[in-house]
Amino acid sequence: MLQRHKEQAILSGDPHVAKSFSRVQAAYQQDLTKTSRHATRPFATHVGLPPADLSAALGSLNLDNRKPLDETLQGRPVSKSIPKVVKRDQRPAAPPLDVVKGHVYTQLREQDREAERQVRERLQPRIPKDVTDDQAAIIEKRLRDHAFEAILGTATLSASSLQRLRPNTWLNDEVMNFYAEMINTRAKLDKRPLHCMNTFFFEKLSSVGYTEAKLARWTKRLKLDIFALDKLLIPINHDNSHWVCAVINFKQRRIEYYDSLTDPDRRYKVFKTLRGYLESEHKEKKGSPFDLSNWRDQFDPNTPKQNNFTDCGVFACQTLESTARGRDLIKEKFEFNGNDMAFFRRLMLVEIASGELGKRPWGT
Amino acid sequence: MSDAGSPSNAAEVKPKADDNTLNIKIRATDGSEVFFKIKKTTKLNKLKNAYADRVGQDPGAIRLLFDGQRILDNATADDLDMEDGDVVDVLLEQVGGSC
Repeated sequence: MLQRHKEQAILSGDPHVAKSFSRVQAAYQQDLTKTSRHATRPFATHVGLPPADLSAALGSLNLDNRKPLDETLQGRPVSKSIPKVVKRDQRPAAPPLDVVKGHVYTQLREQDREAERQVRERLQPRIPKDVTDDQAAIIEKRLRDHAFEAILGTATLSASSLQRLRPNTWLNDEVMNFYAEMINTRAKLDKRPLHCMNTFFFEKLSSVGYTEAKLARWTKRLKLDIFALDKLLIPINHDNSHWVCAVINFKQRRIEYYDSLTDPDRRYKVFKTLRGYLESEHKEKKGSPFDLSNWRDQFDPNTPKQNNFTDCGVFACQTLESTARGRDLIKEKFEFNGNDMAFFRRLMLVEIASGELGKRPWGT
Repeated sequence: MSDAGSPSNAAEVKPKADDNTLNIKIRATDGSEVFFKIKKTTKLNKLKNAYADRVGQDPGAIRLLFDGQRILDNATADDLDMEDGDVVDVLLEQVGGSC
């Protein structure tokens, strides 16, 4: 109401004010015709209705719902800010043009990069909280199937081992080795030079020894030359109570060790044992000593940790999976943390039931 | 029941060794060894059950490995190209959740 009084006062009063008001009015009307033109054009082109239907459709849309001008102007704030006039000779000297240009370019580039990063982050799918309804139905069916048995290569998984993927349950070697076999199957399909050993490999190597355990025959049976690989993945069981994993990274010349709990310095023995394995295997298969001099032992104490006393097997499997997918966990860090393990147990159930690893849209 | 050469009670046994049978040594991680004589065409879950019986273990917790590969229940010695005197590793189920 107050606004309306003001308007009337303006209209009846000062001729300068009246003039500028009519200018505003003209501009506003032009604006309106622009908007209505824009409103009709995309409608016609995008919807693609036949011309006869089009006018009917346009009519029914009631595009022309404009209000009378004074009604629309009501409530519009009257701009009061008047730019301060600074005289030309009082202004500070402008920096040289190329400096300004360079500065603007850098700023624009930074803005661009930041915008791109934000878009990419928004587009990057997150790890879901649960599997899809279809997958949940499969899980229910498989968990109730007492005759369940999955076989892939030489890995086999019984119904009782499958139950171990329920929450708060320890995983056993059948789950770990079935997962390893799925990783190997996918690597073969993708022609990735890597291999995941089974969980008995490290047990034999560390408790019996390379020669005594005849580990040379293991790679012979697999027709596997480990020195031609990018990565050799090794799931490890500690004291029949904890799962961890190690990766021999031939490309980066390092032995990586991943523990989802705080490591009570068991890694040193693992590093030593695996270095010994590389030397023995090289001597056996290539007939010469293996040069380990520029190899690093890699361990990051700040990797994601399990938030219970049951999830280490899931952690180990997922660590091996993302490594096998090509993710560099040292440089790019982990995609998941302890809170995602409930989902991964469900995903592993689906994967084992189908016999192949699922796509990971959240992965890189 | 004893070791080398002598037929075992539970495994598929033939008193006389011929082309169709093999002597297989089952070796545990602790170094203990048990010998079995098996038919080349016998499903090897029989061997697993016989071993489990011998050592008093649950067959469900026993893993037989030949050259590092798990022996599937319905595989035969023929399938795996086993030869006379070959060694089969026996390991027990491994579990883990925390330290």
